[in-house]
Amino acid sequence: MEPDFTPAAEPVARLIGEFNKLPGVGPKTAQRFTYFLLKQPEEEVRALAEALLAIKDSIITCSSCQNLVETDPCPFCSSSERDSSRICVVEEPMDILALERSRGYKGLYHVLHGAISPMDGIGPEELKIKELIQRLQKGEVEEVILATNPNLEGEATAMYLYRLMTPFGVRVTRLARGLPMGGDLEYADEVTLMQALEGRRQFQP
Amino acid sequence: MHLSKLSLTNFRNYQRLEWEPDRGINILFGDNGQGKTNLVEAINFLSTTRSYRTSIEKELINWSASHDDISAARVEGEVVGKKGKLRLELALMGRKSDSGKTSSLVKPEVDALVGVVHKKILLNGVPRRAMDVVGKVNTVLFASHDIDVSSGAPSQRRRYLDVMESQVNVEYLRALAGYNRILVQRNHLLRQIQEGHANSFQLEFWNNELVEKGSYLVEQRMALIGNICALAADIHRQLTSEKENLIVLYLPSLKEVTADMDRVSIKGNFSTRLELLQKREVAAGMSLVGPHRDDLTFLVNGVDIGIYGSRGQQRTVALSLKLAEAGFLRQTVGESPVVLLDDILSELDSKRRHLVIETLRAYGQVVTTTTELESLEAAFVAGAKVFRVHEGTLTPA
Ligand SMILES: Nc1ncnc2c1ncn2[C@@H]1O[C@H](COP(=O)(O)OP(=O)(O)OP(=O)(O)O)[C@@H](O)[C@H]1O
Ligand SMILES: [Mg+2]
Ligand SMILES: [Zn+2]
Repeated sequence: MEPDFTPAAEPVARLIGEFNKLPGVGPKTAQRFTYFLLKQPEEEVRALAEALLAIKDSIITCSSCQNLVETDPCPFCSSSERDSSRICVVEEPMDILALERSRGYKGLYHVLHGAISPMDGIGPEELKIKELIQRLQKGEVEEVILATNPNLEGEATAMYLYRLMTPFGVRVTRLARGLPMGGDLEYADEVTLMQALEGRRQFQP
Repeated sequence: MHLSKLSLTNFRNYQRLEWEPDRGINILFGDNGQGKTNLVEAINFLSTTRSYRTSIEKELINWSASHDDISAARVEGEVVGKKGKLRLELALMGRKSDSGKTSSLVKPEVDALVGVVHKKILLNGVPRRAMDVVGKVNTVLFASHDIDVSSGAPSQRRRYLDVMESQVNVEYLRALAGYNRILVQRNHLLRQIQEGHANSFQLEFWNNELVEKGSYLVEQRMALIGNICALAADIHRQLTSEKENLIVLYLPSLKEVTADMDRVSIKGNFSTRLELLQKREVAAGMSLVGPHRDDLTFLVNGVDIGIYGSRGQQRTVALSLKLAEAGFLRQTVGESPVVLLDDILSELDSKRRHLVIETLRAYGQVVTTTTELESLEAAFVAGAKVFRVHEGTLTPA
């Protein structure tokens, strides 16, 4: 009989199903993960299970920048070393890691948790935009750097934010065009990101 | 340019094929359902990285191979042109669970992705994106469905333009892909505005993008049609013994656009139309104007042949357009494309067939199919390399 059609024990099928929900994990890989874990010693599997639960138990959203962190406010938002007159707006928490690696930026961040994409049902309401506006209303922010991805959806988001923020009188800038068009911030190398930050320009709609 | 080698692995009904086509005319003959069209499809696939018969690439993988754990179809071609030799390899990888049979272990959404396969492209052994290899092998395909080009759906006529221009202009291909994505996003947004879930000021961004990419497409199409019109008119006069005068006319969705306009004026016109149409577009929940609604019309002696032409006249127009396409590619690329004719020659009367053959002879490599060798002129067959296609195998005859 072909392996795919062998009826699996219910807990096995359940775990395969769970793995299969992860991005980039197809049914085949999900099966491989599951059968691999079945062969591991109990401690190993327990360690994995605990690590999984820990991210839910200990990871929270920073009420200011919306980053996924362990403390609220997060180390960035509570640090006196960071320049609180600047906010760099990114799509995902991963983008912060990329920008930090470039070491070219000392301000604060704001995570939108996505980009505007009508076909995926993601409009401004689905993003952490209200929270960004609340931060601007406190009046301390002088510059907002739009660091959404250089693709259609990222540009649409940048444009939307620009229009929304104009009344606040903040300087709105966009990362310089050094970034490969259509690319993801997450994958840009440090030097490119550093240059993109340094060469940021007044946003032009 | 010509295809000097073609090898297929688990492509359609070919489990394994190693073929060295002739530089001149190749005739594939065989009974129905033996694999003649499959071979033509494989060559065209190298050129466009897509199948012209299906959008479900899973179908291209040989059935017996798709029972394997990870199945793969492979099309490899060696092409010799004025820039030397190049090797292009396209591999399709499909997973067993995609084969349509539902396994209880797999969530239904995954099974619904039947036909989604992973495509790997290598140019001279180096991985490339589809965008980078389209047009490396130039082909002109003339298959039986092309005969309806004048009377068929407008999308067929846009496709005629797009396939041709994309082979010689990567920027066009990129703009077209971008435009189509913008269109999908914009249509969703229009629907959301209509339902009160989005604000119409969000349209501004998508409008600008649509105008930017769309105006470029319109500008390029105008130039292309100008070229094609001249080429097709000449060929058509020959095919009809000087009796018919063919004009290829562009019917842009942006009605006020004329051939003397530059991109800036086209953009201006497009923007204005979008402003005027906004209410209607929101009500319709879709984009009502732009190159996705362009069309062509073919006038023969002043009459729209798609509407008033006889079947025979429409067929000749289709032939003129295809030969014009070959002429355009030769002119632009500087060498002849590989011409693929599927079930075409036997559909023509002997006089037209003769003219086509004479024209094509000047082109270089031709691959043509037929079920009956006897239906072709003996002299034509004698001057060609004949291959018999039988159950996914090829034998010189
Ligand atoms: N994925 C596949 N695996 C195996 N066989 C396939 C696959 N796809 C199609 N076929 C087979 O290929 C054959 C069709 O081949 P093709 O369309 O090339 O025929 P043809 O020689 O052009 O015939 P005709 O003269 O009728 O046009 C059919 O018999 C079909 O069952
Ligand atoms: Mg056929
Ligand atoms: Zn924070």
